[in-house]
Amino acid sequence: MDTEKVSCNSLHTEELAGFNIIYLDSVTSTNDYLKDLAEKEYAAGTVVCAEQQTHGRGRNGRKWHNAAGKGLTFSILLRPHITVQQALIYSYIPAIVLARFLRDEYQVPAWVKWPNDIYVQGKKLAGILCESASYAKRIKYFIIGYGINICQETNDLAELQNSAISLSILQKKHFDKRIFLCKFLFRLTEIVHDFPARWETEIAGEWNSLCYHYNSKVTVFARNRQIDGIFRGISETGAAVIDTGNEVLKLVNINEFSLR
Amino acid sequence: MRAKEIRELVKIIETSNVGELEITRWLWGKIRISKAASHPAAITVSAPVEAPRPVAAHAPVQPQPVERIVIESAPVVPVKESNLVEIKSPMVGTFYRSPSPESEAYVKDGDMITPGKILCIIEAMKLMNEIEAEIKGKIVKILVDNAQPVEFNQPLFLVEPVK
Repeated sequence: MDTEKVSCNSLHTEELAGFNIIYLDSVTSTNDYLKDLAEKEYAAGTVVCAEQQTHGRGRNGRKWHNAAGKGLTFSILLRPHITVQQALIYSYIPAIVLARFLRDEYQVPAWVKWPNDIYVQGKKLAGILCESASYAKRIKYFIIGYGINICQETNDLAELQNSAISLSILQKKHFDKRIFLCKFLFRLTEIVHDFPARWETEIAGEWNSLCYHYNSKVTVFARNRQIDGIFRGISETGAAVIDTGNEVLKLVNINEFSLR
Repeated sequence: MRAKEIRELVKIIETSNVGELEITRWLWGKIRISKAASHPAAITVSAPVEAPRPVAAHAPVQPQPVERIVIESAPVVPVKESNLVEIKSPMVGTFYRSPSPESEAYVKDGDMITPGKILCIIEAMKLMNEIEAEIKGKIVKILVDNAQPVEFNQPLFLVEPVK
């Protein structure tokens, strides 16, 4: 296996393109750790990266697996000047950025899956969990938590190998997680800097163009009701658009979502 | 109490599973709104006196921000002032009382809250958003059950403000 040939001198420094990275050996969850820092008024751009998460979480408290520290888990603190309503559509940005990054930088055919996963060849490569706090209807802070399968080998994924995949398995070589992180943060900076004005109306279109199950049959449970229909992407406000044949629903409260 | 306010209170009762709401206000006694147990949809409005009628005659001279409405047969002893405040949802989503199913609720009935205190999480699509208190006060009632969908501006908590 080749080691990725990239030199990145800023690896062990704390400052990187406006980001302040905190590396930890082990933490309950990088999102939880960063939330504490956010409450202590840490600045936007603070990043927490951990080798091991003892209580890694996905949406609705689902467990995130990180076998032997081979996955890259990190969280980024942002403090956008937006309302809670705007935050809904903003929460699709992290997946767009990661999918674009994987395509451009690693030539990986990455796609987004509703609501917040990255899939390659029908298997999950990364998960994203956004958490925020609001006061008086405005966002106080916005945390993006990423869990990306980087170095796992097939046997590391064990029972998940039919549903998950890693960058190493895809490209049959070893990757340095920190180099991946640094490169990714550089990319994120470019996007975040000129963000609001140029992007906000384009988020839905951008996300939809990266969604591999756009126009696919889905079953969702919303307000304890089962709805079967065709997934028509997300609306400009961030709702999932489901076409049942009789009506086109824009759903925000979805408890379960599955492809048929 | 204005009809509009009563309608709002009735709405709270309707959209929540609170069975009964009693509000005491300076000068107009109490109003109690309750859902009849056998007919969940039926709302009965019952004040301790007849429906409030504005009578300006013997209104006290005390300064007060609220409109001067005197209920004729209201108890002579002025009831304690208590203006309950609703904390409403800033977004559409699912209401969660605790950070995860195993953990303790952020707040429960009777808890004191201060600005910045986390009250609940509203999850929409993939965003978990903590709602922080903007006022100091006591949680009188939590109006939504855990894991229930909530609408924009739907009342979540009834709080008795404390100065």
